[in-house]
Amino acid sequence: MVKIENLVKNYGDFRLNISMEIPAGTVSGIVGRNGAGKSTTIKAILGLIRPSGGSVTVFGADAAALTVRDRQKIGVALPDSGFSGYLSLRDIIKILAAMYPDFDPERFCSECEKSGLPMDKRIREFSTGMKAKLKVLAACSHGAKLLILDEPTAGLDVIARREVLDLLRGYLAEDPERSMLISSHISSDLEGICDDIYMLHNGRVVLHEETDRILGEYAVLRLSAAQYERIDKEYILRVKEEPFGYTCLINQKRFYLENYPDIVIESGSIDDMIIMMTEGQ
Amino acid sequence: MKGLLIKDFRLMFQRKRSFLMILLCGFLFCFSTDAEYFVGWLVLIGAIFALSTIAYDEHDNCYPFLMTLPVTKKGYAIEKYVFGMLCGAAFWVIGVVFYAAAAAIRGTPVNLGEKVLSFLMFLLIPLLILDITIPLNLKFGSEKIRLVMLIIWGVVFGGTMAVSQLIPGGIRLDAAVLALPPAALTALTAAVMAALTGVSVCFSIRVMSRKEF
Repeated sequence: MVKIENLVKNYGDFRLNISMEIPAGTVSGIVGRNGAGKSTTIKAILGLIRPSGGSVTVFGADAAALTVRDRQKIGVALPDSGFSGYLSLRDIIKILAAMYPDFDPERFCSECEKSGLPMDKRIREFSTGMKAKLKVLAACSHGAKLLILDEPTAGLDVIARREVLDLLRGYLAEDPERSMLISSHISSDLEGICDDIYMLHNGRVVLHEETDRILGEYAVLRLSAAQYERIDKEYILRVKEEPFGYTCLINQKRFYLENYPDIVIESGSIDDMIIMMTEGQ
Repeated sequence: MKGLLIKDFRLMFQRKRSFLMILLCGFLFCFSTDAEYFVGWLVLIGAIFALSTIAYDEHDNCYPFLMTLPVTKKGYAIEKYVFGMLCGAAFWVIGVVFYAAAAAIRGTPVNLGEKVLSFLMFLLIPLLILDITIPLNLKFGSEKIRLVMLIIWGVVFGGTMAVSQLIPGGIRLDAAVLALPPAALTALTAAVMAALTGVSVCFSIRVMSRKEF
């Protein structure tokens, strides 16, 4: 559904240079520190910026030249942009109905009501959580084949985050062909929903891995200097020097569990991966 | 485009109080001796209302999201002209109705058919305003546009002064143009406005196509 080949975008000293692919029916996550290039990648997919090089295709067409019909198949939520705060939900329903042939007003109203979003209040008077929910609900309101969500859970409390993620899971489950690209700073959100994860750092993909592999086979070793000297380093991806010795990111947890029962092995998480891939050597 | 038009109409109605105040003023002005001019004034206000929707789109950084909707950059630019002309036309209709109502209340005999034909020229006002300001608004944004317009007026004023100093008596185009037969004058006006609108729309599309969000 989305294919990025050697995309290059230069912003002063920053250079984004990545390739990635989101096949039909796949949920991909993008993680990385602030300024890693997550939002720039999403903007390139949406045709909001012009690449300095490479290509971005969505549904097989150039992302910058998508037709209205193509765009009707995409649902988008952006962290710092949305409908004008002067509009109300009632206004938005009319706008969405005019823009998307598959928009279901009854379902949208029912979801908004369930989420406690008032119909006649201006959006600017909504809380951060309400605005975030509205963005996701609007993105899921018109049968989009592709969801592109940049930080959809930012600013939400734990309950609201779970509600948004449940909503997304339900939406994706309705049609196995639906795909989603989601970026988030909250790695636990991605762990529960993504099939694979792209980790960006300084404008490059430093790791692309299936989420199940990250959670099942990746691990962090906490080692003293002596332990570090004697272990097999074949499956170590990154090493970071610590006051107590070394922290190592590995991608073969079972190997170390079986061969080094005396060392501390912590199961992998996306947070660990980000820290190790960006700070480790 | 229909979705964008609905958005803009709904945004415009956010200012319904000023809207009603202007309509009330327009209605009262229609009782004055220069009632004809106030029909033109209402049409002008309609165009300015339409332009304010560009500022609404800029506000709260709405542009990136708007450009992810089923809308092309070209379609967005054209919609602003369509919306502006719809507003201008709506205000023109209101102006004509006010004019006729005021004349009826005052008991002034008016050949309304003839008047309506002459009022049609007022529809050029919003078109001219939109042709000049939409591309500049899209290019510079609603904040910088004030400074840009000030500079443009300065250049136009300075240029006029310079011409009047260099050529004693200035250049009198109006007499030559008004001497044309009505049909030729109408055709000339239509051709000039069509050319200006064509250039303006092309420039706006180009500005939008080059924009990054």
